[in-house]
Amino acid sequence: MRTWMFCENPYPEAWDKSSVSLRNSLPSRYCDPKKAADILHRHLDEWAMADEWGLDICVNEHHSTATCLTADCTLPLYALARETKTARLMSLGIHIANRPDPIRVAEQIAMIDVLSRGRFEMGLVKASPYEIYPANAQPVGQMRRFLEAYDLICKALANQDGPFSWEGEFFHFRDVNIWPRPYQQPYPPTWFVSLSPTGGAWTAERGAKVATFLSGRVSKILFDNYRKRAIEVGKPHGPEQFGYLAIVACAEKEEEAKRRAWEICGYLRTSPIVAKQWVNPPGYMPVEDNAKALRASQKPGYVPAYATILRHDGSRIPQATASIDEMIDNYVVFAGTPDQVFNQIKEYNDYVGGLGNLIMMGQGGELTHAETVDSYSLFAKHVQPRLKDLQADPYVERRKDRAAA
Amino acid sequence: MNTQADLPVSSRQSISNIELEIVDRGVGKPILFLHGSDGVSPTAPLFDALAESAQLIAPFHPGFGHSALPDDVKTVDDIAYLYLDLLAARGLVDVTVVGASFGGWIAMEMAIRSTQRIGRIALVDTVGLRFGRGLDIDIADVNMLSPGEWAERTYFDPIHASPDLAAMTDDALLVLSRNRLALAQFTWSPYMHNPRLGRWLHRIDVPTLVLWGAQDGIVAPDYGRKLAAAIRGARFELIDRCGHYPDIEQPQVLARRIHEFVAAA
Repeated sequence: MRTWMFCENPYPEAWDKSSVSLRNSLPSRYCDPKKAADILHRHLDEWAMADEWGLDICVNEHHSTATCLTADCTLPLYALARETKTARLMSLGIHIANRPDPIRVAEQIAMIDVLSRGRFEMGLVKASPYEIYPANAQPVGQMRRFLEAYDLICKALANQDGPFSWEGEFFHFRDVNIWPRPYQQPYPPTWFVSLSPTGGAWTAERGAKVATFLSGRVSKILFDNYRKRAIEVGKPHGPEQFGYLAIVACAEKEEEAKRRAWEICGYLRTSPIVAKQWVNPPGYMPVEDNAKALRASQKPGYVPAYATILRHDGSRIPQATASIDEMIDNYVVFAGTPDQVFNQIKEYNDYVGGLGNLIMMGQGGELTHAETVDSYSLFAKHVQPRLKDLQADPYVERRKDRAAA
Repeated sequence: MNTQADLPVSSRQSISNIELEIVDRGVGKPILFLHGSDGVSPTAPLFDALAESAQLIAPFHPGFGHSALPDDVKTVDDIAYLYLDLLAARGLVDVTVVGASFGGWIAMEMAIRSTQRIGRIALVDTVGLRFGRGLDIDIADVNMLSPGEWAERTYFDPIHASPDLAAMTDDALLVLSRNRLALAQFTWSPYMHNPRLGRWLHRIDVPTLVLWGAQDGIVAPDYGRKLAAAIRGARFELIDRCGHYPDIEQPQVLARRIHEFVAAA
């Protein structure tokens, strides 16, 4: 199992400036550039320790928000390509359906891959619904545009034979001939993201790896669908194809680890603070699903499925208000002493039938640099070595006591 | 009196390989009513009032209501040609085209192409042009407004703004979702207008009436005045106690103005 260090580069000082929307509309006067500079440097410093820790690096992207200062994931990855020598570098991901220029994306990918001498992994995503607005991307036909962009990017990266033209439904180019070409051939490994159980099939068909976020038990359904489809079409289906992002916090003492996890969970408490008009762009969901969601939203206390945690007994609770223990029990958070964290991850590995990539949100909210470094150091020293060659065993019914074996 | 009470409220018809839901009511001179950005109810009071003394033809634009939205129907140009085909398919002449909001944009795109079958045009709180540039915004962007802001700008009387979703049928919720998707398809960017349209407005050579809700907060009355000034011989009139949708808030007044406009021909 590889472990990837992940962080949203949040700006928590602005989180109390709006209860309606922290995304898209929060004025940037609430962003002090001097503090933003400190934040960007701090997280680059943490990521740059990946080599020493034997971990890998994962960077995401969001726009116009106090929850994430990384408005372009390729920029930190390029900086880290130079600062590290062995860590792999994953984007998760580049908003290829929203970016107007897939060839520009292909060039960025090639540059990172070349500078890192073949350590890039290209996570290419449709992006969250509210990202439509800052990008002004047409929400109707997004999935078709995503697939065309992906096709074009792969061809542009693999091409060595001089210019080709592309006259697609969404993109038109006359002189596709990128320099440099990527280090890894024909192009870096691809990652897609899926949050719905049915998302496994189309990712498997393309032989791409699939990552899910904070979905706990739902990941198993998605991974099972992926494996089934991959076997049907003769594509890879081992643990290395799967990634799972969880909140992870280590400490010498369990109580401190849970406190750190709670701090990182500031992400869960603030990420959904989005004004109503941007939560569900027109045409983003198939109309039938949209109509069903409108109907479901009439029920009192309704929380959309993606914002809930699926429990052992099949019931669901809202993510934003779940306790740390509930989140640990349901695999959204891995937190505790190194031994406890190892046991939790091992159990999850067994539960999903083999997880090759753990993406670790090891910082969030007001968790300090010192606390973050301490958590990662403990993980790197005491947990990662035991995860490296971990195999999936048959899943054992969970034990209440998660103390060290 | 609606003598067609026993017949279906609307029917499906194929025009140019696109299956459209169309309301056909009444007898008399033909009125083609082109609905606005938020769709229209097939049992709208305006339809009763118009069908009293005219042949009302009210299609649901591709993707709206139960009309199909083929993959290759993407722009307002497509809809304009579709409705010109509809008029030709039915052999209609001297048609009064009434376009509300987004429907008004369609009406203008039809008219600059051909007024052969069109007798006159009524544009009701229409969109489709921009008079400003850059930061100077003519048309409020409904995609950026909160539900409360949208309601305030769209309606004079906010009672119209919040449909009771719980009371709506599954089909009505599906139509609501379809309408949102279709509107995004046709109006996303450049937002709610055709930068080329103003160049060709001089081709509208039939009597044009521009009607405007006095309290329209989506497109202000001044926009309507500029539009009327840009179309040869066009007349501008306000409808009071009314926002962006006179067809919803003042259907009797709107119907009367349209009947008077038709009668004056």
